[in-house]
Amino acid sequence: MRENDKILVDVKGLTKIYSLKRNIFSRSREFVTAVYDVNIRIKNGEIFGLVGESGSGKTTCGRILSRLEEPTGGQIFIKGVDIRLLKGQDLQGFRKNVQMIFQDPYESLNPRMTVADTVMEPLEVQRVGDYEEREYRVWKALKIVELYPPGDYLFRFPHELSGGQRQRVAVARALVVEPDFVIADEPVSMLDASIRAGILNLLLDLRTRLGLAYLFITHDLAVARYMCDRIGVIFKGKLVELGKTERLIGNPHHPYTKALLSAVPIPDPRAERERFRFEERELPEQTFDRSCVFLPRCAASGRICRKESPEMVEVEEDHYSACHLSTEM
Amino acid sequence: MHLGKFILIRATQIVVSFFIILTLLFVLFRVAPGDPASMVIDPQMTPEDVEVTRALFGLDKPLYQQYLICLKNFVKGEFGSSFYYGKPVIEIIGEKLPNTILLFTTSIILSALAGISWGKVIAWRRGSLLDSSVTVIGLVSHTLFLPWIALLMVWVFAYWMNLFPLSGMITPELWLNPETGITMKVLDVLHHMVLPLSVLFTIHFGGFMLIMRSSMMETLKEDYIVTARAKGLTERQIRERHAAKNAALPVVTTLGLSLAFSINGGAITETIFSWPGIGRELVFAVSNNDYPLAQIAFLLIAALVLVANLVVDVLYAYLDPRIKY
Amino acid sequence: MGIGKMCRRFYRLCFIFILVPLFLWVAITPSHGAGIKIGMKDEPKTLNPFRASDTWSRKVVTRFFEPLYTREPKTHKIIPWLAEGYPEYDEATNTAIVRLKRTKWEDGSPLTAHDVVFTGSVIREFKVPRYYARWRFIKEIEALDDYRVKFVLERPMAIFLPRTLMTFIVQKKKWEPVVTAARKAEKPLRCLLAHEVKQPMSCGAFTFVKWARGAYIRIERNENFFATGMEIGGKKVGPYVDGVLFKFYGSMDSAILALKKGDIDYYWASIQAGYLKDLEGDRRFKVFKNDKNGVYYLAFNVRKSPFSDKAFRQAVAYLIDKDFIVIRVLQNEGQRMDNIIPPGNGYWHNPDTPKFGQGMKRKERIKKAYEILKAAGYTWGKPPINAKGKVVRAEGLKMPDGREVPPLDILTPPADYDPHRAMAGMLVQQWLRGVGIPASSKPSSFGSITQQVKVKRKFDAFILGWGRLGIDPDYLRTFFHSREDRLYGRNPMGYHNGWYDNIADESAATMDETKRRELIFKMQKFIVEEAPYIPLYVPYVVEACRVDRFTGWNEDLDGVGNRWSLFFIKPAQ
Repeated sequence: MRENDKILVDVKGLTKIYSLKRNIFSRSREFVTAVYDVNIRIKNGEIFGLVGESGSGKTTCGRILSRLEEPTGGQIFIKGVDIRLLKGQDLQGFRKNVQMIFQDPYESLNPRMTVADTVMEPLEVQRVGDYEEREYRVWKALKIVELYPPGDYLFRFPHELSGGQRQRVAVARALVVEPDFVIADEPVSMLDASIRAGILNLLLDLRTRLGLAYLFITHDLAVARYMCDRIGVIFKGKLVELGKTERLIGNPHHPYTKALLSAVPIPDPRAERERFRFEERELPEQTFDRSCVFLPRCAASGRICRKESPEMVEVEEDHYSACHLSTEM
Repeated sequence: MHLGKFILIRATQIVVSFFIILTLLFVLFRVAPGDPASMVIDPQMTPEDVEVTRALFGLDKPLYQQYLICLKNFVKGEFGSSFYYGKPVIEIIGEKLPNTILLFTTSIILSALAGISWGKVIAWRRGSLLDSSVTVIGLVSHTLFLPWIALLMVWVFAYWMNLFPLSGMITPELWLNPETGITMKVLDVLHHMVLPLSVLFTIHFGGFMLIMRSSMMETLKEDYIVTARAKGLTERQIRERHAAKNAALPVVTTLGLSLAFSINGGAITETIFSWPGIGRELVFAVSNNDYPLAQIAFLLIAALVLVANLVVDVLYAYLDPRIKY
Repeated sequence: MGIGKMCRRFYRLCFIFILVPLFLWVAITPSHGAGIKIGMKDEPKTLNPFRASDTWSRKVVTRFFEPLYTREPKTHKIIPWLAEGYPEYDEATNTAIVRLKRTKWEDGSPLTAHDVVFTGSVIREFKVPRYYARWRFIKEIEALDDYRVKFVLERPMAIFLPRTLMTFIVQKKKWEPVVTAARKAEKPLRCLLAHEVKQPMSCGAFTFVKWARGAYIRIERNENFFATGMEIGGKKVGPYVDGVLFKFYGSMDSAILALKKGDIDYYWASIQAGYLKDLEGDRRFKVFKNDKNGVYYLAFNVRKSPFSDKAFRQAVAYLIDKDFIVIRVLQNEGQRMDNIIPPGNGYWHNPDTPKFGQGMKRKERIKKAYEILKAAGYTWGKPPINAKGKVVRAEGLKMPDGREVPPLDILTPPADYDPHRAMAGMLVQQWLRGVGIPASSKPSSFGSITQQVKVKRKFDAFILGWGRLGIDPDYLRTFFHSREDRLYGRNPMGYHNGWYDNIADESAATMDETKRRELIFKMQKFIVEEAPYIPLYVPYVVEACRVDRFTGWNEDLDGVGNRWSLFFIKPAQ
């Protein structure tokens, strides 16, 4: 572990439990745990990948980190500030530092706003500079995301752009306020394979040029491997394995990671995306007391797995796994 | 360019539909039993008088000739005279239409504005007590029985509390007084408008609000709302700039057509409030087989609905950049 | 942003919109003017007297135009009005000389014989509907001098005095250009009738002031009115009110509220029974009930059997319980009719006409009808009266020729147009079925009824009514004369009777009132006995007036809304 000052994002024990009313009239509530006790640290300029299947809670993590949702428990420090306590001006400042890129560029852009409006809006919100300054920034941002020449794109509406161009606009929108930390929630999953690499390379390039840190949320280990410095694997709201990309891919400890890896044919991001499949077993009601979260799917569960939820254990340097059996393997 | 071509095509369609409607109306009114002359039950009307009256209206000619004459006059811009008033139809409509627009169109605009603003607020706070209570109010408003609420309001506010005039559009005593200034006259009309307007507002408000609410609910599910929030926009900014603007689109359609139909007035409201509008005139014309008047009034509505549709479509293209013609 | 601001502005607007008029009300609550405020159900359609045929136009137009002769209130005796004395009629030459009073139009110019000649000539030349029939038999009209008019008749006509000479008179000066222009038009009559009278030239008790379309009509007392000060029926003619303000109330509900609130002093239309309780308890009002000058009746298509059979028609007449209709359907707001001429028309009404089934019980009616039909040769599969004399369900009614009585439709106006007639139709259906007549009541639109009855003349029976019958009984002739059995004619029943035609023609040519009255009495008795019509009922005209504001209302046929009321009423002290 490096020193604290280099740590940009420090997530401690993040937990999110949704309570749902069964219906309008009943008083009883149903609780769904989306995220449970997640601990992540992201360093300046680092790309941290959060990998998991849909419903694993990875998106919830992203939304909480960008304060679109309130966590139920845990603490989140970004630049040493607990973002849960932010209000008013400070929250605005936070919005400036932390930006988000969404999965679906078709949906995430307001169809009635031009590219210029969309990209400029965050600057207006942040009250950055005067109009000329903003215009210049928009211009620059479009150039950075390789929408060139920017003048051709400024007054187009989202429906007049291709999917890749839209995601570039979304990226430009995120970058225009010059954030330190960008949460990218499946930024390429809705795009055609042919243009995915372009967006991914752009994000990598931006990291180099602007020194950004990313929380890169994806279900695709191959993409994560291509992008990330470190990867956290999340399953049913719990972090099950965390480590440097090469180590985690090269030497996975958790059976879930192994299963994910086996489902990825070649670690080539240009390859056709393929979702991993498990042979489905009936999952019992999810509980976080006692048994291991992966138990219903685990092929090699032991007795202890039923009794005790495993803790994250450092299996090698900077490589953690939450499996009773991983150390023995 | 494209829009121009689109408008041209649609305008042609409108003209064609218009003449189809004209023909349909012509046929519909003439196949209805009874003609305006023979329907008069007056001991003084001799059979000769009936014949003379029929000739006066041109009803003595065969139907196809009547139709051709009607078409010819129409193309020439002559809309004929009312059988009943003897006056040119245009004059009668010109007399009554402004009154109808003043009351009904105003009521539609006001209720749409209020419906939209309430609809978006309650959709934003969906599930809250405010939402459920206002939705119930909207549903009640939407299903209210107009004569009942109208008479109730007249009884309470005009008769019992004596706050507003019972009916009519002006106070004759005031208008007959040569000293009355224009301001007083305007205020007098406004004073007379309050009750009928409130009734119409109550009736229409719910519909607009419910449409806006459901449209807004759909919009709020959209990702760009989340994006907007991530951008750091305030809730109010998100609601107004991103959600409401997009959600208002379906309301525009309803509003456009409601506005077009509003010129037809409402016979019930006009009767209860003795509002000299076109709705009662229309009912009267239909029940008295006053073909020229009824025909033109219906045609006017048809034309307005057709044009309103076009305007709504064009407006849509303007409001929603995704739509191109 | 934009919408938000708009909304805030909108709310502020609403506030102003509602609050300002609220405060305003204090300032502009109308003070009671010196005139009377009269509510009407609808707005007049025209002020052109040649065209005015709807009741609302006539209520206003007749304030301005007066006839040569009119009828005294209550007695309905014809009295000289614009004319001086009665016409001097020469039987040998069929010539009548009418002298005029020295009267003036509102502009101060004298009303002369030329105006009379002009009015008559216009009606004759243009064949103005409703008036032409009473002028067509005038061979010549001539102004002997400014105040004497000579009429030459083709033949003696009873309606000369009560109809022809009771036509309104218009001013020649004012109408000549209109008539000249109309003559040149493609359709002269249409042009004449389409003429919009903006400022009627009045010789009546009131002059026109203003018509605000959709809102009101204001008329004021004519200071030059010739009859002011005349004594008629023991009362001095005013008018004593400064003017009349006509307002329009589309619904009975708002009219009654307006009455109670004081917005109007009188509602010139019959008030439905349901609203009366409210007004009867209020001491400011007096409720007047008078006969309507009309008749509601069941008529048969006497061209076809079984209606061609007088016995059958009389049997039907016995079956109908008119008192039941009056009590149950009209809720006692009317009376039974056993005649075509209403009892309120005292001079011409013959009280001695057959009153079929009056006072009979249901069983007696069925028995009577059964007897009549049986005597006329009708047979039943199962008669309505069984061997023990009990009333049973009848079946298989056959006509004397052995054919079954076909299903018969009784056309009535729909319940939303006139609930009374629709209900009466249903009752008649049930009563007729009591003796096995397969009748069914068919509520139909008004247009559909007139189409079947007056145009196609293919129907079985119908229930309709006549209103505005007038005092002169000439209509009795036209309703049943065989000449009127034609397209649009007033005898759509197809009733033909030579004796009746003759006596009717005689009555039309009898200028002596007493002699004519005898003929008319005979005609009434005969036609009621013949029963091509079965008169059913006549409703009351129920009206409420603010007697604390105006006194001296003249009750008459068709209620207090008549010229004499407006001449006689005085502001209450």
